[in-house]
Amino acid sequence: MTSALLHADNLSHAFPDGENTRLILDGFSLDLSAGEMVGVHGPSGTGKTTLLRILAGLLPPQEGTVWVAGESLNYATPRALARIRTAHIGFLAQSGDLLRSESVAANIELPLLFIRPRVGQSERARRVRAALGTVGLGDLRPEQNVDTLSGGQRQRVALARALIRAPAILIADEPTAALDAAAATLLATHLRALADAGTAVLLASHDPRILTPCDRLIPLG
Amino acid sequence: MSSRTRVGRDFRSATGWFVLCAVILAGQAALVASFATFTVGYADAAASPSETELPAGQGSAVRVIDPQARNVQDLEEPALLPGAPVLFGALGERADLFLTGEDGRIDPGATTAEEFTAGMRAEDLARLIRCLCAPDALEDVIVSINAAEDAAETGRRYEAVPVKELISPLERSGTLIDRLNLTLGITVSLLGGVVVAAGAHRLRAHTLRRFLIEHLHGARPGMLHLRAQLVLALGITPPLLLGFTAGRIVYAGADWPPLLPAHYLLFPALFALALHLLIGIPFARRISRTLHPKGPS
Repeated sequence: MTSALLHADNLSHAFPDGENTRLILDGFSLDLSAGEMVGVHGPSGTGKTTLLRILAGLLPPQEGTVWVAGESLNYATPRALARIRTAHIGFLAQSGDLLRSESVAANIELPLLFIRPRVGQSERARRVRAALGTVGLGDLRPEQNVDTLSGGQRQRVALARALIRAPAILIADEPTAALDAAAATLLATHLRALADAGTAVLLASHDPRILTPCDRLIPLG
Repeated sequence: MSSRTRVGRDFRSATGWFVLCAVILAGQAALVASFATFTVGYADAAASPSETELPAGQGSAVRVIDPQARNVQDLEEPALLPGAPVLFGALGERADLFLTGEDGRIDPGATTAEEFTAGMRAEDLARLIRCLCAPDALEDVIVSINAAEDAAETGRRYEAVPVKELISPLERSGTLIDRLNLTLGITVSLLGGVVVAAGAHRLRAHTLRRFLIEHLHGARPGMLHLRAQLVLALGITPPLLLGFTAGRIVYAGADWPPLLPAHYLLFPALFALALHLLIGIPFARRISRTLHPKGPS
């Protein structure tokens, strides 16, 4: 094991494909350190999301090992995996994946609800405002319904949600998939700034607008 | 936001369907209640005469039972008949008024038969007055009841008949009205089933998306499964219980709160359990598949 925040060694993963199995990952290894921004790219169906889910502890690897901040994800119980995720990882899903018809605050504070000991309401509100400021949405009302936001605003709200626990590692899956050029560029700027501030950023995309600011690119497929 | 609030949000995500499903479920439970009342009542009633010998010395004893279970009074030590208790089950388990064969005396507090069997039809009342005896042993009772009815000028008359001559709704099945009722009941149940299934599908779609998002941000799968089953239980049980209670009041003429003997609770309990399993097992599988997809992405 290395001193990297996120360490993956020799990951392999296959899915059933009819009577056969389809190998998605084959001996994938990665070291991701603090302040580093790494992009994984490749065509659709090459296992980018699968890889990110494995690295985030959402999917157990069939072969290989994953370490997050010195803790192994292999053989960890669901409770332990949830604890590791909440302690170290922020996840920015494709298209934001916000809770529809809910307020901006309700969406952003969601990750805080799974932390023990509980975070009080006033502290949650304070962190929501801080997270909105971090992603350049300081003038947005927390009680505003997310359905009224533009695509770029929604994705930045999702980013604020991923950052609200101040995770050491941010994993982003196709974060610009539903954004126009201006919004994608703005999001890329935010992710780069996060990495420069010490967060380890790992993203999967085939969008050059967000891959350009990465320190390293890893092809898949 | 507490876990209680999150369960509330699970509900609110499909409020319209939930309300509709609750109404449908309540209606179906009411049908179950009426079905339970008639079926069990008649099954028990039909079984009692043939299974029990007329006990020596107790052949003239009669028991009158009020489903409302009001004014429970023992006029004197009742002569309980072996076959009589099975009749209680359909109607509330408790005796309202005891009549003895010796003097045929009626509770002085009840001036007419209608008073202690309020709202009941003649054939319902006929089911309530039973004895393990020949019809003529009921004559004194019938005379007393008819005298009370005459005094009240209700125009009602009662007569004692052998049990086998009682006509039950089940025995009347086959008539046009019963075929229509049966058709209507099945149609309503099927339509209700379709609406409930659609509601379950809608709820599942809303909930799965929310659960996936929460899982991505730290929720444990076990807690999400538990929450899903809790939402289902809350969505199914109260409407069923309310519907069943309403059914008992409307169809069986029970008071509020209605008496719910254990073997009647079995019907809605089994119905709720079956419905919960029918929806809950596929739901749990879908949650697992959503949280742990088996294909590449």
